[in-house]
Amino acid sequence: VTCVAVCVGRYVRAGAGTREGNKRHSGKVMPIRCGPAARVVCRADSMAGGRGAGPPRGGQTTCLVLSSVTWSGCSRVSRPEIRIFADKPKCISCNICTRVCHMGIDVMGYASQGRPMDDVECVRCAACVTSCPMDVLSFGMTGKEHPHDPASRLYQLRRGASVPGSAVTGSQL
Amino acid sequence: MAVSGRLHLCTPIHNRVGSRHSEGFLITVCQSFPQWLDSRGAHGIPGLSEAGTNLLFRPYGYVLGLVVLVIGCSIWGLVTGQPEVIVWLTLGYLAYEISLTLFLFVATALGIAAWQRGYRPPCPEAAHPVSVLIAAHNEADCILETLTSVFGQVGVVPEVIVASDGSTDGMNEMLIRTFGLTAVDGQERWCGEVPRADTAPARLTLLALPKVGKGAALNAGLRVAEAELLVTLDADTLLAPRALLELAATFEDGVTVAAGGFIYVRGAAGGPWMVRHQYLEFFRNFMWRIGLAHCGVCLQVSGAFGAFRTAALREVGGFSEATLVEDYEIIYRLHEVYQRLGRVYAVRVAPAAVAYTDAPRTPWAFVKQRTRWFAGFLNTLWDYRRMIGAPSYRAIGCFMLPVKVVDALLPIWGITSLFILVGAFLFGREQWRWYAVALFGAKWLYDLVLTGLLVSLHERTFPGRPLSLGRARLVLTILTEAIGFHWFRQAAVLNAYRWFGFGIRRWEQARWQPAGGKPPVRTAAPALSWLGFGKRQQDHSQP
Repeated sequence: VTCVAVCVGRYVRAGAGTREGNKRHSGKVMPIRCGPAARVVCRADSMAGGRGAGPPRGGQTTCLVLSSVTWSGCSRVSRPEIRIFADKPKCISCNICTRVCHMGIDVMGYASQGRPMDDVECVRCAACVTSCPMDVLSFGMTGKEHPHDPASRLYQLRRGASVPGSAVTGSQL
Repeated sequence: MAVSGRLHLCTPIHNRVGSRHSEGFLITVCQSFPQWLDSRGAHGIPGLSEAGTNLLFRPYGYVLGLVVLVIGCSIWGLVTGQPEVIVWLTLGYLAYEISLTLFLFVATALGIAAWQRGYRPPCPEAAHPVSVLIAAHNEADCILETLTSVFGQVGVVPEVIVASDGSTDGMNEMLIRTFGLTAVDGQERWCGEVPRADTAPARLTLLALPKVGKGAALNAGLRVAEAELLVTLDADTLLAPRALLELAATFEDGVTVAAGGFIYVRGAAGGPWMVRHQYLEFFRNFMWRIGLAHCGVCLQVSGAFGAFRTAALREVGGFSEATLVEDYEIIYRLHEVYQRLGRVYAVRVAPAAVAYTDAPRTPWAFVKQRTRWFAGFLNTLWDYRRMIGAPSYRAIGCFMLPVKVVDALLPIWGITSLFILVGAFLFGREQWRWYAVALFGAKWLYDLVLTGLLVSLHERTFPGRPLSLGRARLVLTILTEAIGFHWFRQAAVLNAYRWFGFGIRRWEQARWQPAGGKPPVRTAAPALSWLGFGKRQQDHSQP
């Protein structure tokens, strides 16, 4: 389920607001009300929690105007994006990735836990990917089937887990 | 001189078109006085009338004279030994700095409020095509990371141009090998495609130029850029994933000609103290710029990560090849040309477009960099002195440039004040000691409070972008600024005055002849003839 909240209240971007405009803008339309108390549960909720593709946001989104950050956070989940994935069993904890990181991110912390990189400061410069001696780290797209993405069907099949058909289909974008 | 201008509320220029907000509060004399236009600033641009534009009114003389008079009088009073002058000098310096920063803070708060109201998360499908231009000289150790961060951008597939300015560290060969580039035009132009999983492949062009200077390299890139927007990027600046998308979205209004991103210094948390101070300085400056852009008086779009409308750049003649700060000069030129042509335009800041840059780690490298920046600033201000105080340039001429004149000369005042206070503390009588301590304390407290307010404004606006420095480190950095960092900055300023006096105006001179000589600079003309780019004709009178 791809879900991008589109405000249909007073503050709409050009082209949005109409059914056609909204469709062009996102795909799935989820109208929300404008105002200080406007809060709806995003339909990307299960994806946001299950995929581990972003910091826990509770899947909530608010009006574009009030909290654009929350909104773009939701958008980040639904749009495919280049991200660094880690093949946890291969990691030997040599800490080279953390040392070469230009942004000072604890990359090894992510790699040793097998978590996809979701630090806001990660610029996808690939310094860690290219310097990893064990090829633990690799680039991939969120929403695509990546063998190191814990939310992907491939990953779960490899781990021998039973894959419920609907939960891990990923983004349809 | 009789000025029969209309006084009216001059709203920020970007608010007049395409936006419903108008919090303009700069009251300026707005009237066009074509007879005052200076023929020397015509830049050879069609549409800028040169006939009958003998300069009758050069207000910069008055502005400059006034500033020099005030500073000169106070220093003269000091030399002749009038104790009250000490009080006036130090208090005056503090009063100016405090009033300016307070103005900036209010402007920034208003600017952020307006930006938040008008902000829409950009739509990748509607993003403008973007060319990213990286002028690089011997950047083999960091260019790959930069390129990867550019190619990994969300929603935008940029056309990337690397203008290699006579690199000798194997950068060209590395790029050719890594991306499988093929020669297009002899050995000077290489092209290739970088595949992407989700979209069409991105194009990479390498211009293997001889050593021509940064301005000329940028111009060579500008010549081959095909997209509507040109983003200049430093080879050591890494982009956040949505940076290009956010920056390109700024141009949706159709009037923006240049927009700057928000640049943080990277590696501040675990870095040396020099980097931490620069992190704080960059943070403050980029916050201020939001306010300045809101008032329509932004004079700075960092070349490390800034976007320009390609057509506008070409119209004003491309980047200057005879300056130390080509990114700073181009904004002055854009302002001048567009104000004189009477166009509606805007220079803006995109606070959501984030980039992370490298900062000098050693004091010596820092002083060198800042000397170049400040000398470039002085040169640019002097080159565009016809705009200072000129009402035809509106808020830029009447407000911002006079402030810049004060800023250019203020360090003299600041350094004197600093020496006086230190002297008063060490050698003065008791009441002078108390005075020095009280003043220093007040300044420290003010810096703390102001930076605290800025930080909380930043936290409130960008909850997803926590500052790299924690609170304790921030406070420590602010408190130690006046003791260490400030002095290095002042040393750079003094050195820049020397450069300005000796007429050092180009990167090449700065690099190879720091003693102030004027070596013959290799011109770009023969090397770039295939690009059809000659040297830009411009009047550069020596100060």
